[in-house]
Amino acid sequence: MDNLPLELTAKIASYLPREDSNGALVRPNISSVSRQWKSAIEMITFRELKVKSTELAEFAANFSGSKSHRRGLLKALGFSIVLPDYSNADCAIYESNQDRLVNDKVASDAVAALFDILSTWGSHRDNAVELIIDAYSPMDAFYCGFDKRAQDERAARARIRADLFALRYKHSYIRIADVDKLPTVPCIKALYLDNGDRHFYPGSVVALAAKTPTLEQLIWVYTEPDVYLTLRRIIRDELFQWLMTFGLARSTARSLEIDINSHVYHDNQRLPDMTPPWQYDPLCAALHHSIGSKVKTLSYRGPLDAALFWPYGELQGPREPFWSSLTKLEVTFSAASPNGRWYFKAPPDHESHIHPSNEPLPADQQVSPMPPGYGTEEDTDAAYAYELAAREMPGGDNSEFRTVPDDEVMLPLLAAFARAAAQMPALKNAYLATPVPEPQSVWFVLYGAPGITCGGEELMVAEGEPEPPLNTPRVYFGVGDWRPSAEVVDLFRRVGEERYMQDTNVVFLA
Amino acid sequence: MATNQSLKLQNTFRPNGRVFEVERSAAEHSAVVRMLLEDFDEPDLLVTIIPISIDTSDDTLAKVFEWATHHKNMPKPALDDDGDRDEVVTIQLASWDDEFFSDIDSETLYGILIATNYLDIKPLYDMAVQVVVNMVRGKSTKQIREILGITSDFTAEEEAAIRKETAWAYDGEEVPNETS
Repeated sequence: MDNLPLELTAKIASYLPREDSNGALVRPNISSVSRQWKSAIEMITFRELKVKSTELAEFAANFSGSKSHRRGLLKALGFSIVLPDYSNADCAIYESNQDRLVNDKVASDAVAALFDILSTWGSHRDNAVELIIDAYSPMDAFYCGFDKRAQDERAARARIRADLFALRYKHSYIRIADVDKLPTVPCIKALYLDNGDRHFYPGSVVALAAKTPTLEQLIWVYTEPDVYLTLRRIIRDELFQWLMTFGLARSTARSLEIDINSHVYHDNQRLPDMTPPWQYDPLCAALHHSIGSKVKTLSYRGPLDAALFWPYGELQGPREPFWSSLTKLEVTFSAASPNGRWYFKAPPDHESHIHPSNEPLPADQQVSPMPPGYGTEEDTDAAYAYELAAREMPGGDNSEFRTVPDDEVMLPLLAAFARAAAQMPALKNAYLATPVPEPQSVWFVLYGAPGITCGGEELMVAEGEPEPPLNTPRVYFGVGDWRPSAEVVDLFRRVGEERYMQDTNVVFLA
Repeated sequence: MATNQSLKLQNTFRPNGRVFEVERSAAEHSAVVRMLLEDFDEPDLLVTIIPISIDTSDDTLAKVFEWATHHKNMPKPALDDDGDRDEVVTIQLASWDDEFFSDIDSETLYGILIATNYLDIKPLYDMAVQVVVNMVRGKSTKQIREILGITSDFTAEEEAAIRKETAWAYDGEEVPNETS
């Protein structure tokens, strides 16, 4: 088979399993059969690579000099930052400020070293790489090995071992420092910082994105500190600054996926007001301004303020269209708004219609201690006590009664959504939804441009209605018996007038 | 449409290639033949000799058409099925196919790969690829060369380095034992 075309050799290589039945790697021996087989195996081997920060020297060597052609093969690079080990005794205590400083330094150095290497790769659109970054310590519960983990869990259950497992670093956020000193890396087309076990400061994601001038796709997952409002505010304030400085790959991004895991509150809990005392949430407003004109698809899941859509006054607004390439907008929002108000309330005939939790937390409860591990032992004890109290359901009641929109909170959101839709010249589909208690389960508004289905059509047919014509812009409300104000409905109608010089067909689904 | 019609195919890669008369339902395993039947006037194709140009022997082509004839009633993949797979899936050969490949030498296997790739006969192509994979997996580099009839163009040092860096790419695993 000396003369087998490379295409066929590559096909055979693609069928080779990674390991044989005895667990031995199959491809290394075949890669050294001949130059042709080496090329074929390389196409598989170096297409997707996982590299630890401790292996950067090998990584650089395997992609430089006579091996630099492999840069063109690499499509996805998983980069794991290996954080320092910690002792068995430390498994029982939360990470300290000193631990976080050390982790930040290790992570910052690792990212700097990686960017130094990648910055020499040049810019080739066809050869651009998807970069996925995560972090772990070899002592972390999911990385210390199955046997040790099982043994530790057994010992913890038997109360002969104290171990917080992943709780040890639950409240820690890894900050990539000195990002301004990093070289730009023009070979990254997608960036994702994995916030699985170890969290990254969301501001670090924004800053790193600014160093990747060819970035087309950003997947950004951020898990908020749950009950610890003070840390939540610190991170939000920092994130606001980063967004206002750098945006989200404003000049290149085509796809943005923003996923903010926020604390889930019970219906009878009062919410913190995370916004300063003016009319809108600065973080959502900053996000609005951070989204560039090339973004085609935007997916946002998290706490939502009207400012994401319209951070302007009602009668003001940009004269020029914004998000001008956006064709698909998907927003799933939490019923708890960032300004301390719920988007929903109990129905008028419900005993909880007027409920104290309809109002934000009183001012004296808008602050919290820092999480465990951020101060002295006494501070950690105080944090425990605070967390226990904060997690307690008032009256032990976890019933779900917030089923009807609170006009005062919901109507401005819908108005902003409609105003924004009218400003987006390329918008084909939009989706604004939030989970609500059964039986409705999802409360939503759908928009479809002329000629484009948006899902509402199928729902109409399912309800036994005739299939609606697609030649007009359409808005479908899946909002139960509730109706928005005439003014808001009129704003939705005007989306069609603005963009297509025809009324929007507004439909309320049963 | 009658299914017992025959098509005549001749390999024109070398002079005086054999003319194969293949039942239409067997020949339709080839996506290339099916596209010809769709694109050109069928009666013409049924009476003329369809030229194919494949760098393989008539004996190898005979094996390909033997397989196609045996499986003439097997459903054919859609023409727009590119056969690409995201995951490595091991193909289990049925007993007839196992027997079919059992007495084939590596040169003929090579020819079948070339021919099925040209004619776009996906099931046989996939099986031939799987047979090669079965032959080489778990073997040392030296054994693989012997099985596939390949001459090394590496020095011993280059060989060792390539094995090492390939193993590194798989999560830094150990280099497999060359003598295994």
